Amino acid sequence: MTEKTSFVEGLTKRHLIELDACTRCSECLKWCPVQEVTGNRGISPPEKIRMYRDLINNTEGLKARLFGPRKVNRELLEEFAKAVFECTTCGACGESCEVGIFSQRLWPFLRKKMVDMGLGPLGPQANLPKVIERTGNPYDKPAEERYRPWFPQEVKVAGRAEIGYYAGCTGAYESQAMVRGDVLALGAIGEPFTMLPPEEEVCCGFPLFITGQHDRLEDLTRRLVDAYRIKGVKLLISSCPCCVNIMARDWPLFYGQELPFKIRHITQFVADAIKDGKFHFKEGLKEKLIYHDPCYLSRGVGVTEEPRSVLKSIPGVELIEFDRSGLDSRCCGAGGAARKVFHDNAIAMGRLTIDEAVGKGADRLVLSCPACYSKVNEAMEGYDKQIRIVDIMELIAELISGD
Amino acid sequence: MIDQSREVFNDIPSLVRTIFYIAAAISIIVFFTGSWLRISTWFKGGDDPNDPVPKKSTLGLARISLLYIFSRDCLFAKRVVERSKLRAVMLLFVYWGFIVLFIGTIIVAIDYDMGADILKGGVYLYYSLVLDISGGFFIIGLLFFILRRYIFSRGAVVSAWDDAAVLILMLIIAVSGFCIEGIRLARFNPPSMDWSPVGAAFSVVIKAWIPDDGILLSLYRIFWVFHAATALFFIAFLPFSKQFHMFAAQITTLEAGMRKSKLMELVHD
Ligand code: SF4
Ligand code: SF4
Repeated sequence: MTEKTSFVEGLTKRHLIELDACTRCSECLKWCPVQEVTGNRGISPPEKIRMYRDLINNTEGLKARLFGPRKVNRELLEEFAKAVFECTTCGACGESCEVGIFSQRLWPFLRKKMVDMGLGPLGPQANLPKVIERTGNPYDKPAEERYRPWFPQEVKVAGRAEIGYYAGCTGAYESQAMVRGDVLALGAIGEPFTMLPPEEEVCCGFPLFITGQHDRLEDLTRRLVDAYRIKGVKLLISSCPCCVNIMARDWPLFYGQELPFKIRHITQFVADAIKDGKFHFKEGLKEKLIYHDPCYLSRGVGVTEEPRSVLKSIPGVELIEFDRSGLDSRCCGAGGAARKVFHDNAIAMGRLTIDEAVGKGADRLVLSCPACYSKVNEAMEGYDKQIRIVDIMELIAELISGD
Repeated sequence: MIDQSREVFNDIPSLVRTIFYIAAAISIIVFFTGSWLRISTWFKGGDDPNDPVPKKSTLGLARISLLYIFSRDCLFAKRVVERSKLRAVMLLFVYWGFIVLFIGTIIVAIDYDMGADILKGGVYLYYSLVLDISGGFFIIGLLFFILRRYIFSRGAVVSAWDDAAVLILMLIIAVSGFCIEGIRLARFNPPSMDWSPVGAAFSVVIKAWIPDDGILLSLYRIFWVFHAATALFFIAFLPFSKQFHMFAAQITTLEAGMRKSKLMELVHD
């Protein structure tokens, strides 16, 4: 790293204004799950912002402009890199931020800066580009195993259709009950839908985006968008909030133009189908359910009402809420690709979610994200508090097929 | 109506006045240079079509950063009200207090230095009342934030050295301003006293402690110099401190509002 290293290049105007906007009021600390489980103020949002501002001053401050750039403080840089990668990018700090800093977007770009400077990604995150290139998914699993273990054979997939379904890597390899539920629900709604062959349904790019490794994003986006376009897709559905997020927010940028289809989370599609009378629950469920809003579904794309309306439409269900719900929900620890690197933090966050769900007397904890699903299940292993965990689509499948 | 007017440099030796004008010019130059450094750094950032405030020129950004101060979201601390009513009220004391005191200072400059001669009679009395009360609220707000940050935070607030610096500087400026006002009122007992309730309260305490006019005059001069020096230092220091958030936070606050509707467009259109 030279003294000419720019801490500004690659960021947008909004990022730079945000870095100047923090008042260090510290309101966000109360909402940050990493703060909650580590108590480490050094990795708090205002501290990260202060550190990065100091780094910017190396080249943009008064002294730097008068006498040339200062030598970068390596220790500060490393401290910052660790802090920005320990964050789950849940965005709760941004939602509570008194000056409206859009942290769910700021942290990933600051991570990218660290990657550009050789200070990230951390641990197994560094293998992601190679693994995705080799297998098409971040889990290093063969493409032929993508659908086969869970795909319900009774559901027919059209060759071409206006509705496209993207299972996503985490769902397909780590949260199969969820994707099975997706397909069963799509089958029950009865509108023809299409899917890409397993070797073509490559990673959406989110793991690369969130770990600051943006090099292959354009390529992945083009491959997927063009493949769905050729199949005549006008509406692309997925149940993974991270996939939905990058598709809706970033794909148009990487694709270089507006997408030829709209993006929806599967709960939106199911909620609409229920509203339009295309689908209803025959079976009831006498249970008290608590719904956890995934960060990238709620704060990411604003989907908070639809999953609730689906759950409320199940006869007999009593839906209860976490103290922090909707746009204020608390991250379960799975976010930001930090769960494999800062494993203990992630488990501790998952257990906070479990504690509250158990404390409120819920029969089941309902999730709506494959990463939440696998992390909260992991957090439950060996824990003295236990609660049944179910993905919202798994629950729907249960009611459709009477499992 | 009582005939009153503002005496800015009464009892201030002419050499001090001259030094004041030179220092003020330097402080303003430093302020604009520092602000330019910060704002031109923003302009080095790229454009993101998802941002509600993209391709603005440097001057455009400077303009919106000033204009947005007066937006509804900022003037009524919308995002803070949603989280804590008490903190919102205290923030508004500081925010409005700062704006009113700043505008008040500009009016004095127009009145005195440009010879507009507007601060007299009834206008002056109302001017005194508004500034006096705003100053009082400003001090209450600052004390609240000092206590919150340093006494009652129990480690839950992240601070750096410039947090203390800007809070204490603003408090010193406000309190020393009231000391000057209090000494003036204590010395002359003007009929307009009722229009400066906070200043009058200061004058009562000052008079009770220091009845001697000679000492009061010396104190007046000392406080005047001190007040002017801290205020000018604050202006110059502002763009080099975290207090520059006052020109950035309103942009992000307003953007956050616009973003909410954009967010819904992503998958709800
Ligand atoms: S994004 Fe989430 S984890 Fe990261 S600093 Fe903000 S609140 Fe904490
Ligand atoms: S809430 Fe926003 S302004 Fe306050 S400390 Fe956190 S990031 Fe900074």
